[in-house]
Amino acid sequence: MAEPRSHTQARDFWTATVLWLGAGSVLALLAWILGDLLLQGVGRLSWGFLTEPPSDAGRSGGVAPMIISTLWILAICLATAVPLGLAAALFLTELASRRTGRWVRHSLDALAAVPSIVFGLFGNALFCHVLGLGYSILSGGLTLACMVLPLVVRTTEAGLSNVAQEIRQGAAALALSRVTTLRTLVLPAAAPALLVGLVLGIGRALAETAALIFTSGYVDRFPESIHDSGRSLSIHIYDLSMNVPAGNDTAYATALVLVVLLIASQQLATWGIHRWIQPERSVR
Amino acid sequence: MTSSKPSASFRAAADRCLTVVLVGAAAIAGGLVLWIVLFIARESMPALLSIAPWRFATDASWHPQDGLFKITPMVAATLAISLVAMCLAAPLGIATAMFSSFFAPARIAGLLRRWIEILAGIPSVVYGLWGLTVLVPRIAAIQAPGLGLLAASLVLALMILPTVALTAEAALRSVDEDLLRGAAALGLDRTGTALHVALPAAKNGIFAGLVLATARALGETMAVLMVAGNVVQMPGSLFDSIRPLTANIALEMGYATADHRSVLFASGLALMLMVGLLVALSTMSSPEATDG
Amino acid sequence: MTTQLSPPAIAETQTPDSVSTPDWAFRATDLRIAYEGKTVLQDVDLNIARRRITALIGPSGCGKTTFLQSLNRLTDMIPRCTVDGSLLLSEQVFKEQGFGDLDLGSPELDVVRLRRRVGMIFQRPNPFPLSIRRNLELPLREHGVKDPELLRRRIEKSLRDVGLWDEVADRLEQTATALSGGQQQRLCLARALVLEPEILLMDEPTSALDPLAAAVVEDLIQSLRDRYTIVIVTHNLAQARRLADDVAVFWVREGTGRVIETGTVAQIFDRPQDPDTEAYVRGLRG
Repeated sequence: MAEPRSHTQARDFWTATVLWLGAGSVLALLAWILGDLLLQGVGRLSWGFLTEPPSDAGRSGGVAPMIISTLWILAICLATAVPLGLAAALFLTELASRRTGRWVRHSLDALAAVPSIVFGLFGNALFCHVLGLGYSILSGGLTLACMVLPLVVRTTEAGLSNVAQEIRQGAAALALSRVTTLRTLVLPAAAPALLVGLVLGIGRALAETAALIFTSGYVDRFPESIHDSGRSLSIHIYDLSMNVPAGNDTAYATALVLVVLLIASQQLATWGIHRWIQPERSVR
Repeated sequence: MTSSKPSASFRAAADRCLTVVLVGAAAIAGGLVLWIVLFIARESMPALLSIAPWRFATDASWHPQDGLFKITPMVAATLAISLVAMCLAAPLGIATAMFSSFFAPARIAGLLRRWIEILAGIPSVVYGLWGLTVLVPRIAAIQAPGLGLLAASLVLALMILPTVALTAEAALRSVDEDLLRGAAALGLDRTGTALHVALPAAKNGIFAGLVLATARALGETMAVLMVAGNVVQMPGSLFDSIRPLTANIALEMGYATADHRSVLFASGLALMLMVGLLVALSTMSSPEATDG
Repeated sequence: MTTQLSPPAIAETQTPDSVSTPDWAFRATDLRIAYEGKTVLQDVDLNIARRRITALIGPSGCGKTTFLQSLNRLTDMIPRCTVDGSLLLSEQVFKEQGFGDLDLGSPELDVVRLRRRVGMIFQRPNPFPLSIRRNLELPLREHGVKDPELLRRRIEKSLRDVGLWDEVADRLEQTATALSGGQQQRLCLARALVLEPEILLMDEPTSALDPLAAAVVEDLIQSLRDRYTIVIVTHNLAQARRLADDVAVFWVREGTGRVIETGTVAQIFDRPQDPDTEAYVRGLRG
């Protein structure tokens, strides 16, 4: 009797050991990356780094113009994607037949899978050339809007469809108009989900590089309008590490700024999802 | 607040207006992916019409300014990097998922998931930077130049690891509790339950996650661009510098004109079709496929 | 404190055992309701009398709620639900007359006009996640009542009608979802009454409440008798017996729901004609 039990215990022990090692190595890798980021980035980091323009091709000075450009690109991206995404999500929950809804959702899933470099190609051809916007913050923001649209729609849709069917029935039985039902009852209830979608969209847009290189461009000056080219933080990292000898320190400092922003927005979104949208499943 | 008296016609007009706006937005959102495909196809038409398709394989080299368009080394590079990265990420990701579903204490499992989500949120350009400054010198110490297939695969493996781990964990977690209780009632140990009951039950979901991760790997640009070395050649060994399709587009779009530009769009189209096929495969094999 | 301004219908033949009530609110003829092509209810021929309480009883899944929802076209909200046959709403129900009976099957039907006269109470109380006052004000404003003084009066009156005024008068601005279940259901009733409907549809209005709250709501329904036409779905036979004037028994036969027997409460409970009805009212009585 004792023999087989000790055998299975031994087997469980070894499996557990292997898996602990595997999971531990994943954690170690992440700690390694974040540690490097922190150690190599923190040296260059200062208040001036955030408020001054770069000098000597970025080796010294700060990243203020990139922060401004990034914020502008982000603003255009969200100003386009959020209203469009909200309206599309409302269509999916309020109007779409099951068939149409399925098509739109599949199409959005496909959009979400398009590689970012392809968005870059599309944005370059459509916004920069066909619409004549050139390399500009506007082109970059609109390209990113196409990219984050599926994320915004699906998150918002999840929030909207969580609004209880009983509320909708009650509104219908009182002959409230669709506009009133949405404005007074559905949207307030879905507002947290909208915010989560917004934050997820911000995260995705901040992290993006490939789609911006050929749409918003490289110029590292302060942009004067949205028709100017503007360099995002992510492109700055790329440029410093690839094209500027001895640019790594500044690249790491910029990366640290970017990652801190991203982790903050991501934690905010995760918290929001668990709090408001779905206690169990995360939106992905 | 300032709404006029809601006569029946006003209400109807407002509702109709809203309907038009919503349908319009949904048409844009739903049609966007098709539009992108058509647009990229349109831009690649000149190349596809003027260059015979076999020349992408039979031309002497990739010298687009001289009208030579051999693209196969870059296709091979993309496939090689993705394959090696998957070989690294799949076992590690699945092991991580098994660990957090069956062996880890709940707190550790939650912590692990948080960390993996952070890993997923790091931008690709930061992975590239890290690979370039940390991995490449270490690989170069074994065999110069360090930039190449191995560096790109390692970085890419790290990047798709979260996709594999999170989808596998979700699949394992959705395995029917009764099935697991049944296995326990039969006296199976945890290893047996995990390997012979849960893993087979979750295999569709895990497979779907692997396919999705492959799609991500194929489309990844920045990280591989920064560490692959970008020499156009067939990958021969793990240490060869190579140039994947995505990196090629990113490197040359800035100055490409005419047929050259068009060929870059065509390679983007090919990339998109590959990724599209994989995503369709993933959707079909995922357990949620039936409820649309 | 009568809510209804029009005088009681003429010639209410108060012969409890007579099926023939000359005054009808709804008249269904050969009604058939299907979801996605699957018939859930068919061959329904039913008159629902005005200013009486009609109970719809029968086992679960035989189409009672579906039928109830077809009476205010809430079936529109169910994807791919079709209603065939004739379903009329008497013109007597409307304050303004001369438009003729309303054909509830017509695609051009003005559902706003319909639902203003036909209120509905659901099984689970569904107050909007707004303040108590906004819950009542929203439908009023939506249907054109803007004057603040009038709004205040109508809100107070409907809260008094459901006996909630004394309980909530000092906290009208608090969120309605903080009320107890029974209070929520009474608020929903007030919300329906505030539009001064003629007909009230109730889908098991007390089944989600605790016994004490259920008794309060039931008493409230009793107090609405004679002023409203009430159609109530209930699984509680004792409640049907206490409340109803008329009863319609729904039953599943050959895979679809049907109305197998109608009559006054005395006819159905004391002299059921159909053997299934008999088994049902006996079986649950014992």
